[in-house]
Amino acid sequence: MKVSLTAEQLKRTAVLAKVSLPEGGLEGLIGQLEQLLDYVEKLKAFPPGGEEPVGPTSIPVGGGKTRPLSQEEVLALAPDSYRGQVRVPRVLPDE
Amino acid sequence: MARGLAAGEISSRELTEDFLRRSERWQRTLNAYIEITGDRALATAKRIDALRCRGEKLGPLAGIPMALKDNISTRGVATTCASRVLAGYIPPYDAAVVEKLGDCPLLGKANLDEFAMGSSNSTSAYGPACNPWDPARSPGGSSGGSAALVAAGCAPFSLGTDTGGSVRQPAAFCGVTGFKPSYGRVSRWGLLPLAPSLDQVGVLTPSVEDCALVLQEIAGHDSRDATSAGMSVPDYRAALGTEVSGLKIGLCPEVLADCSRGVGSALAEAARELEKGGGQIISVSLPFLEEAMGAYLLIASAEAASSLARYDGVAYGYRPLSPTLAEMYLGSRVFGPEVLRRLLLGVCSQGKGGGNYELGQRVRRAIVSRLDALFGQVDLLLLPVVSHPAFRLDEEPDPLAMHYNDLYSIPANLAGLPALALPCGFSEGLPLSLQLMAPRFREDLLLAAGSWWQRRTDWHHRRPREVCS
Repeated sequence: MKVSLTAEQLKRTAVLAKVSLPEGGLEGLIGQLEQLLDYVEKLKAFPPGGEEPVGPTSIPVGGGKTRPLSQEEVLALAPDSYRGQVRVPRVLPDE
Repeated sequence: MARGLAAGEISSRELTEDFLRRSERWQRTLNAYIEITGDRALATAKRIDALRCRGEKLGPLAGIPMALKDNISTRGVATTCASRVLAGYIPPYDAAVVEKLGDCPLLGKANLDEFAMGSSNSTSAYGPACNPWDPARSPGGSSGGSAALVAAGCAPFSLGTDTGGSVRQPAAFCGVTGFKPSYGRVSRWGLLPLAPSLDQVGVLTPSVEDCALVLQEIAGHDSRDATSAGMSVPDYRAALGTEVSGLKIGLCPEVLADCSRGVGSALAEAARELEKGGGQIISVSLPFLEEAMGAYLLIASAEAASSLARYDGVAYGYRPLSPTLAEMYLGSRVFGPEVLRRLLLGVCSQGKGGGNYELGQRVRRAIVSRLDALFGQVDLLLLPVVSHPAFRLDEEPDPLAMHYNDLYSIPANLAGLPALALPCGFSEGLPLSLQLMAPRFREDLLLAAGSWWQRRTDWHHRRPREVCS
C-alpha cells in the first residue's frame, strides 16, 4: 500500500525533529519522503519472521581511564565564562 | 616518502610546503578543503624535523602530511561537519585517530556532505568539492574532499568516514584506494557521529601499501570508544606481497549484469585476473541488496535524528538572536535540505515505540546471518563499489536514486565488515573501481588481495592529467 503523508503530519514531524520547514513548496518534500517511506515499507515482507533485532554492539573493554577535560579547557569552549562557570548569551528578552 | 624522510633526503618541512603549495593551487578548482591549516602543518613538520635531527626514534608516518575529513575533531582547529550549525565550533580535544597520527602535519580539513549525509559532496554548506578528473563531476560522498585531495596529489593520504560507503564510493569516483575497516577496529572517539551503529573511520591513499601503513597506525583498542574491539592488531605490512592463490572469491553474476557496461567489463576482467593468479571464483547470490538499503535508510536516519538532536545552539555552534527559547532552538538548527529530509525520515522511522527502527534492525540481523553463511563458503566477495563512474554535479539524481550509489557498499556497514575499493579501469576518462569485502577483522585478507592486484595492474598509478602537468 502506498504511503501517504499529509502536510499536517509533516508539520507535526518537524516539531518532533525540532526543525523549521521551508516556507512554501512542501509538496516536493512530502513527495520525497513518501518515496523513501514507500521504499522501506517493502521491508515488512522481509524476512519471513523470527529474526531478533540487532542489539547494542558493545564489546567489553578494558579499564582504561580517560583524562577529563580541565575546567580551563571546558571554559575555553564556552561562548563566555564568569567566575569559572559557563555563561551563555541571554536567551529570553528582559521583562 | 617515509624512506626519504628517514634517510634525510628530504625534510618534513620541505614535504609539507610542497603539499601546501599544491593544495593552495588546487583549492580554487576543487574546493576540497574547508580549511587549509598551513601554520599548524608547518609547526608539526618543524617539530618532527628537530626530533629526527636529534636521532629520536619516530614512527613510520612521522613527518608525512595528511588531510582529515572535517567531521573528525581536531583540537584548536574548527570542525564544521560542512554545516552552518557548527559554525565557530573549535573542539578542545583531538579525536583518537588524530592523537595516533599526531606526528603527521595536518594540511587541512577536507570538505564533505553536510554531517556526512550524501553521496555527492554537494550538500556541503561550503559548496561542493569537485572531482579532479573532471571538475564538473562529483568526487563522491560523503568523504569527497578527502578522496579528491589524494587523487589530485594534494595530500599523501587522508582519513574519511564510512557509514554506508562514504569512503569507498568517493575513492571509486576519484580513482584512489579506499579502505573501510571492521566496526570496532579503529576508535571512533572524537568522530562527530552520523549513525553510531554504522560509522567507521576509513583511509584514502594512492596505494594499498600506503593504506596498510596508515591502518597500522590508527587501528587498535580504545577504552574511550565503547564499541572498540579488545583485539590485538596484526602486522598488516606482513600481508603485503602475499598471493591470492587458493583464495575463494565470491562473485554475483546478477550484480555484474546490473552495472554500466564499463564497470561490468572491468569487474569481469578483474575476476579473470584473479583466476589467473590462482584464486577460485565462485558464483554467489546476493538477493538481499535492496532490503539492505531499506534497512540502512531506517537505521541511519533514525540514528542521525538522535545524533543531531544535541545541536541546539545553547553550548556551541551557530546561535541566532531570538525572542524566545523555542525560536532560538529552531533558529540554530539551520540544516540543508538533505539533512532536513533525513531528520524527518528518522523521526518517522522512530515512530511509536521505535517500530520502524526495530524493523530495520530485524532485517539487518537477517542480512548479517546471510553474509556470515556466505563467508563460510568464500574468503572474499568481489563487488562493484558503484555501478557507474562519477556523475555530473549538475545532474544529481533524486534522493532515492542517490541512495542507490551505496547499494553495494551498505552490506559491509550493516554487518561491520571490512571492505576495500581498488581502481580497476577507466570509462570515458573517468576511473572505475572494484570492491573486495572480507569477514570481520580480516583486514589482512583484503590487504593481501589488494596489494596483489596493484602489483599486477597500474590503474592506481594513473593521475588526473592536470595534476601531472
